[in-house]
Amino acid sequence: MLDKNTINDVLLAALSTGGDFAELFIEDNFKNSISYIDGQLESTQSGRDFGVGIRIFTGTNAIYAYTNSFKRDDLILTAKKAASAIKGIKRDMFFNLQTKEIESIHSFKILPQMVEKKDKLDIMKLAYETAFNYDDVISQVAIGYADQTQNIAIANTDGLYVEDKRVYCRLTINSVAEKNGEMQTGGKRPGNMAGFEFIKSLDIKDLATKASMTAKTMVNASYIDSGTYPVIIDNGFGGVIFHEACGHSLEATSVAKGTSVFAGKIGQKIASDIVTAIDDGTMKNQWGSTNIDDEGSDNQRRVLIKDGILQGYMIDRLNGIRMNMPSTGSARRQSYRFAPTSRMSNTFITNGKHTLDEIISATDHGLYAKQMGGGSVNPATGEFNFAVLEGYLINKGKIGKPVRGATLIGKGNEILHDIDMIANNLDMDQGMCGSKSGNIPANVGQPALRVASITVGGR
Amino acid sequence: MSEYKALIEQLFVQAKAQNIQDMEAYFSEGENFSVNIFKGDIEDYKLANSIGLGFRGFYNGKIGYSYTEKVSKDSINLLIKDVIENAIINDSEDQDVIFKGALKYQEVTTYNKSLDLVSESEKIAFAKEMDKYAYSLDSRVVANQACMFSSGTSNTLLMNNKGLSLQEKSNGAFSYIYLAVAEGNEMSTGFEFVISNDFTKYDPEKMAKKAVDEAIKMLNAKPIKTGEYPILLNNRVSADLLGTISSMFSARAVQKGISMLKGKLGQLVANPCISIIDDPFLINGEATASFDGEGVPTEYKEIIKSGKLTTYLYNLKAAKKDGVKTTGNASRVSYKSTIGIAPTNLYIKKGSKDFSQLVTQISNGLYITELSGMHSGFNTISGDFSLGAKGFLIENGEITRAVNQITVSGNYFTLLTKMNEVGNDLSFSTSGNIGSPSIIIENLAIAGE
Repeated sequence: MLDKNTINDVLLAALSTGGDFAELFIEDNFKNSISYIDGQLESTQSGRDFGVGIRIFTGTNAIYAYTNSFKRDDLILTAKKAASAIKGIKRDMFFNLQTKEIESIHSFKILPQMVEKKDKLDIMKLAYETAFNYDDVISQVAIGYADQTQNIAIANTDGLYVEDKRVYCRLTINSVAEKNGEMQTGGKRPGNMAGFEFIKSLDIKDLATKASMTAKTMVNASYIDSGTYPVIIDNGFGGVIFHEACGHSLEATSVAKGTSVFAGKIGQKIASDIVTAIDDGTMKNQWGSTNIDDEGSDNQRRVLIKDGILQGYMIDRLNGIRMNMPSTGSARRQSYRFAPTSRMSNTFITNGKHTLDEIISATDHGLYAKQMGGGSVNPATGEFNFAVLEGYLINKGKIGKPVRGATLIGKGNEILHDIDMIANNLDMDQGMCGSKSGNIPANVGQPALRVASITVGGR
Repeated sequence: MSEYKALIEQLFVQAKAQNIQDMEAYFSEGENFSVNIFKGDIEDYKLANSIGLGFRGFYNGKIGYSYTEKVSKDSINLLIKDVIENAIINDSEDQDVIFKGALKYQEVTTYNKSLDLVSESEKIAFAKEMDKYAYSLDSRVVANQACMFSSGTSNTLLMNNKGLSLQEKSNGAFSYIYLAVAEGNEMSTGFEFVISNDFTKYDPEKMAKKAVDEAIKMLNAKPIKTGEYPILLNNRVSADLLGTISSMFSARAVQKGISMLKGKLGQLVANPCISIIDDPFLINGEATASFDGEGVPTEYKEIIKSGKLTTYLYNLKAAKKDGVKTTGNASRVSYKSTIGIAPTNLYIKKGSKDFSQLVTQISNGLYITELSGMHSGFNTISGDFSLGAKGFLIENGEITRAVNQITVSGNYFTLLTKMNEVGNDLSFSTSGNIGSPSIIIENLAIAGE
């Protein structure tokens, strides 16, 4: 994407004031998005993101600069300007850029750039028609489609030069149900790091029907009474609680600073015995996967918790230096506009020995959270809150009436100990995870599981 | 800028040759600096210069969009190809308009030269001082999660082939400190921020003290009993709520049937003590501007006047559909964005009572200082919310103890009618352009013990 001589000279300029290490991240990214609402096209956008990020290490600190310019002189100027923040003396540093060939573990059969926009729209129309015609109570449906083809090159003063391609496609279906002047929503948002073949493989009618089914169920639901309940959180997006309330605290970003509740706890029991949690960036074509991380290191499968015992963290290069631990290939960034840092990829709790039915039958009175919404966490205290998009009361071991308006609150490190049953229906769902290095695609996942007691906000 | 104007002229000529009729370019370039301090050291130091070009135009009567960050002659063909392809699949009956320009635009100030004269080392010194001062204030301060300062300057150019050419130079800065304090096993956090393009408004000691005080006060917080409580809503928290649901005012949302304000024009939708203003001319306002994303002159309006809904917010497309005049609320966040609708500086008009008077007016209730889960526990269409909350108990008209691990739930449209009294402490939230005074709410459902 840039010639090696230019890259070499920019790296040298970056080290001109005594930096220890320099890195370039070059991105050329083609994006398309389409929004379809009310049976009409609402907007379409196509564009090209292009930029270069330059990072320089000095001890355990880092300087970051980026520019959209691809001109040699501008890049060298940007590198020098960034380097001027370091008041050291240039050291002799020799490196010879060697191309690292990677064998992709992922396949992209149909590049979305090659697909006619009409073909994309046709699938969206099918989703719209199915979701809208599901029931008279459905008052509006919004369909979104987005793809991107991200070409990257990473070069650093260790002599690394590596290129990679990541292709993403995603479809979103949002149904609105209206009754007596009240509105409720339901949605499905499948995505993969894959070509358009992923969108073609989707059962659009089934997804659209499920989105509208949730909206209809919820508009007919009554409010849940506030209180504490045993809560069964179903598989797939239910994993968002582990992601937000525990996963972020296992990222080196917070561990290196010592601000994480899990800092210094490797080998200690942090969860109930039945909990094993994995962050696996190598799963073929999954939403949170990549061949290499955004520093050029090979991605890995990381065991975070095994049988309740903390095994390790997710670590990037800079925090690795701070923690005196090797990188786990966990450096990620939204784009060239962000310095990379340790982030999650596909993070999930592994299967347990029960079935969902067994867990429900074993619960006398509780809340069954079939679909979770998003939430947020205070990273210092671990306090979290999550919305239940589709919930049902459990009465004497049976699923009862649907309830709306439920919010779960608690503390991340406490909830891990309170998981008392885990099912065998592991599934993943897609999210966009926002943190220090921007918004990145990440899979959350888990089998259905029961938490003995959670405070539930309702009415 | 002249280099890029020439490039845009060339783009227009080539696009015209390929049968694109009315067309418009939106160009911006900017510089940015940010620094974050952790325990006395520079943890992050970031420099950026960025540039981008957005393009939209009519092909066979339909509009298409495209953009690029590789701003050069090589990109012209792709920009045109994408606009044509996007226009071809556009089956919308509602049509955009490329605006020919107006005779008069109100003058506003969006650029403060003195900010660009502040050196990077002064900005770093400010952040380091704030970091250091926070630790010095109280030994219970364990870590500044963030202690940062950021500033930037940008130039934008909106140009079309109907004669419109508008330019705006602006700069801005913001700073925040977010810290944790600990006492035994108890931990709590405090936060303070400033948004302004006037560097003299950044007082490191004042900011650090506010964040530390807030965190210390919250130590040993406990839940309260589940029930209905009269509420005093903190000004910034109220602003956050309003910002989250501000799309309800969009005429486009109304037309699509996804705003609860549909059919409510001229009706009482809030307590008569509530007026909500959209003011693009607000001095030092974060969204202050003389023209909107389509180049239309902006205008001042009271969206809700003494509880009554007087207007929705319009861009040209939505206005054309309703057969009304645009309100100058076309939004265009960047060259990557398509045209939407958004408020400018949106705020709830202040009342006459100061904060302490509001507190004494509540015999027993809850003062809410923080709501969490706004993007997930708040249905921005229905207005239903169920959010994590923190705050303080009010007993006999006095603030007594700290409260956490509770949720507060209700519906924003009901809330608007239950707002009984508005304070005089108008403040803007972290978004910068949404403001509110502190407000008394008749009651809300709290889940706690």
